[in-house]
Amino acid sequence: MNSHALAELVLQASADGVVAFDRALVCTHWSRVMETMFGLPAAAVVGKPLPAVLVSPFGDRTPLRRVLEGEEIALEGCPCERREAGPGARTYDARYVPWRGAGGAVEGGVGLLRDTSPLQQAERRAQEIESRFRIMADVAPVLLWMAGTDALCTFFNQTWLDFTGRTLEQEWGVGWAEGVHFEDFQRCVDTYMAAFAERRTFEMEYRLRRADGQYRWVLDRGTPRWERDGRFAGYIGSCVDITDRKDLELDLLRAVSLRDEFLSIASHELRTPLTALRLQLDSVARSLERRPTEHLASGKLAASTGDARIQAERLTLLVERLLDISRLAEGRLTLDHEELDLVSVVGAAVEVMRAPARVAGCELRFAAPPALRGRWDRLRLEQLVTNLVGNATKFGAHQPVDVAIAEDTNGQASAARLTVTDRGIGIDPQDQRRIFERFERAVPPRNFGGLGLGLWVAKQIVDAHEGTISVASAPGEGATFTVVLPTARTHTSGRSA
Amino acid sequence: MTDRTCAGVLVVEDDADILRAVVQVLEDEGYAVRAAENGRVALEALREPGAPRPCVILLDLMMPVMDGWAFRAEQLRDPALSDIPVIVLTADGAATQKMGRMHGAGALRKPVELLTLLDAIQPFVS
Repeated sequence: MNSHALAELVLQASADGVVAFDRALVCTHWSRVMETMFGLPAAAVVGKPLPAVLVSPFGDRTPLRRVLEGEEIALEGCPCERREAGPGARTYDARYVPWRGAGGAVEGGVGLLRDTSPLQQAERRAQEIESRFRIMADVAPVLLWMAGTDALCTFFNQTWLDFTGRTLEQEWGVGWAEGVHFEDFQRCVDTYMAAFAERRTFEMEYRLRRADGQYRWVLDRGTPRWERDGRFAGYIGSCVDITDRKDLELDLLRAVSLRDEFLSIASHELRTPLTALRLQLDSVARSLERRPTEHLASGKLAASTGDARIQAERLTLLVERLLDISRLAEGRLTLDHEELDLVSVVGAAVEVMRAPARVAGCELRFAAPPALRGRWDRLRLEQLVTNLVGNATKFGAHQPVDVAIAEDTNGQASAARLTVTDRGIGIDPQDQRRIFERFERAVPPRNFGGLGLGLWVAKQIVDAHEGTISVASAPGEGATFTVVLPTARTHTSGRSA
Repeated sequence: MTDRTCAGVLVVEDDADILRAVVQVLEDEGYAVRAAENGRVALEALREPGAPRPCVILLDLMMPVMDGWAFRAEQLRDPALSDIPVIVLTADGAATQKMGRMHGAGALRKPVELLTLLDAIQPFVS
């Protein structure tokens, strides 16, 4: 093969466009690739001055003239377009070399052009999209993930990695599932795989371990991704931390259920005196109807009226208690402080409780120093003692109940210690904290009546006095409630709640 | 069991005021009435040797020591007592449904009218 034939072959095989020109810048060769690149047949270009056909770099004579002066020129990303089409966005990598004749003089030039524009644009666009996506993904306040067509995860945003405190390599594939709570794991995998198989959007809630080891509830929404040609490309999903919302929901449900229980208990408590009252009134009416003279003369009417009055008083007391509870719940407990002897206030309340305690079969025992003075609210202290002793006789029936007062020597400030001890059913340790909450009780209401508010009210009273209330108990071994009350108030505000 | 003779009403109620009122109105009607403050006391009274057998039991549900459900279950297990009819007297709104589950003779809701109470008891007491 001679050198000419070889050159022809190289020209044909080259992926680059080849153009040749003479000293007058007239095109002498226009390769097939050039024909395709510019959409111009050789016949339309060969024999014509290049600057007349093409814009830059051929439009600018300077580089071509420099080639004619013997210089080699390499240009990257330089624009070039058919003159009739005007300057476009197409760019080329170009290399121009002088073509020397037999005598060594430059007789023209040869240019090799590689169209880089489609590739460059696509690459640039892809890079831009990728970079934009990553920035958006990493600054998004949600946890983002992506999975391939095989359901294995291939991407987690920085928010996700920061949340779990793990690396992309650890989370990769199915690594992320290690952070899912074991109780939620199977449900999670089933939901994911079922949705994946059907290529549908899914939503699931599960607990995901945070970097600090705490499990947080997340809401995970996954949606399938599709290529332009409709091919399935995998999934993309996002998770948001819904723990606070979940906690709130639980709190609300609990509050509603407690309120319902309270209403049901309150209704039961109100119905009890109403039942006796109703029967007594019906009985009076029936007797008066049947034997009016006899009934009036026997003094039974007076007895029935007395009984009815007791029920009316019981109802009044109940309604007042309910109103008081509503006031306490709104934080409207106002204390009326006065200089008091705790021993005589508690002693008097204990005396009042003796009769009901006897009905429950409880002996009430009271031990106290001669006097213990401080500034407290007398009525609220009486209520506190009544509630604690009432509870003790209710849950410790047929056993003695001890009420004791002593000076508290544990704290720095001067304080009084009141203890109420029963020998009843006791309280499970796990119930001991919640019994001071509203509408809480450690036993089912069907066994022990009452509003379930005695201890909550007691705690409100103690809190308002800036004291503490606690319980020591074990099931079957009775309970000791201990109240510590500062003898002087640390705050001077007239209102406390 | 029909050969057994019965007399009066057994009232099982933990609230002293209601118990006193019910006993009073039934006695005023001429019934022999016995009272028990909870299910345990009622069972003891029923099993007492030589004790008169009540024609009907008026039973509260929410009671300490032994509640109405536990009493009824125990009563149904005892062949000597199981056929004594029981009327439930409760503050519970769902008394009638609960009565069905307890296989009782009737249910009354507190507060109950005297005539309703008497009408419920009357068919059982000779």
